[in-house]
Amino acid sequence: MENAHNSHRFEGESDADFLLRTALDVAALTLRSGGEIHRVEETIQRICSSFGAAHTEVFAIHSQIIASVRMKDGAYSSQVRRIYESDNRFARLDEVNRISRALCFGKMTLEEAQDAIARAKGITPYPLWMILIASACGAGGLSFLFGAKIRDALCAGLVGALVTLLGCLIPKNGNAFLEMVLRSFAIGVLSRATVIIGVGLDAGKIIIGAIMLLVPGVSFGNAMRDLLGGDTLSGTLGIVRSILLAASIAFGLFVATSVTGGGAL
Amino acid sequence: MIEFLILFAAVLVGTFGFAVLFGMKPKHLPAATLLGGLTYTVYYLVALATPDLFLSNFAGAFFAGIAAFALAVFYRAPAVTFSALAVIPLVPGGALYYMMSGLITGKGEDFSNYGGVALRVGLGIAAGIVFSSTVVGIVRPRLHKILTRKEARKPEDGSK
Repeated sequence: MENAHNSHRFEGESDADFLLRTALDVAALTLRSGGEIHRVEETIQRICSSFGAAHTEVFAIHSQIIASVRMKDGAYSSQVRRIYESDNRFARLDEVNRISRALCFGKMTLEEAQDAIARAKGITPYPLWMILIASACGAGGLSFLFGAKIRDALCAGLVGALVTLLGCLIPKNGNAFLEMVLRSFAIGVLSRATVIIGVGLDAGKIIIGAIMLLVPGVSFGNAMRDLLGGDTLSGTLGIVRSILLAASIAFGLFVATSVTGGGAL
Repeated sequence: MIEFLILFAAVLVGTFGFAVLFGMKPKHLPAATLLGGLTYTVYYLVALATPDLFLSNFAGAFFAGIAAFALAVFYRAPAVTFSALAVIPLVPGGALYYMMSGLITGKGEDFSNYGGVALRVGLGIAAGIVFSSTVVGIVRPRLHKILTRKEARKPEDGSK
């Protein structure tokens, strides 16, 4: 902390500012990678405490983190971080957790943490072809649980892989709800198409398997957990978002039903 | 039994797919996939004993939460990476689909019936995970204390 001006710091940035900025960088990446709200808040608290903060306050929801820190010498910093998108990226979450732990146990400096965060942002453990196979496995495998026959499971896998490919082509900074409508529409149309050409047997079963890739089950579960665990605001916001995403899926399927003549559903 | 084995294999394939989609570390894939299968087994066995959807999903999610904690300690990774994946086979995709289908086709009865099923299952999963993290929260500090005490008692040369 003594070397006040180096390449990692902004001009005139105080020790308290730099500490809180780094803690927020770690926390923001945790949230963007699928970490829970309590983990985000604890991360900031612990990093600041281990670097000599006298008092830290944090408030986090899925779209924003607000934090302030007061150092023992009276220096004070307060910062806000807006989170625009988050996804389940567990290898990255794992790496951010390792950085946070290293910072808390004094095994990493704030400057080293900045470099490690930059590296962690680029973690992508699997190539596109493997993600497509995984989509097929996810959709096809789980469709069995909803009574699909082997042919329907194979069709669900194919539709799942195609819709994941479609998702890769849609710009990431677009509207999440519109993306969900497009993808569920594609699922509805492609599932119906497999039945029309005689490969699939039951479009409904194919759709159920394929929409498992879209259903916001994990975010709904996290939101319920936040709610039951006392984080009422983030829990409520998470549930509302999950319901809106589910409604977007329903709308996409509704349009697909209209286009394909309604027989599929 | 054969029916269960087919479902078990399907769950393994499905959980593996989601583990890759969620960008899990390659070395965590086998454990996470197996945990998905075992979670479904617990759910399946409880569902055989009781028709209550809340209970069977609660039991599955509770097991997932406890086992995820054990795996998190072993791999020194966040527990949520294992628990979020393990409960994927319990997500009520079918009920959600039929609920939405009821909404689209104007069948109000389907919408309310399947919506109720989805809600009961969702609540069961969430309650199971919350309850397991409460248990872990109680047990972890005591476990840590016992392990630290054992560590302190060890002779300095490290012999057991």
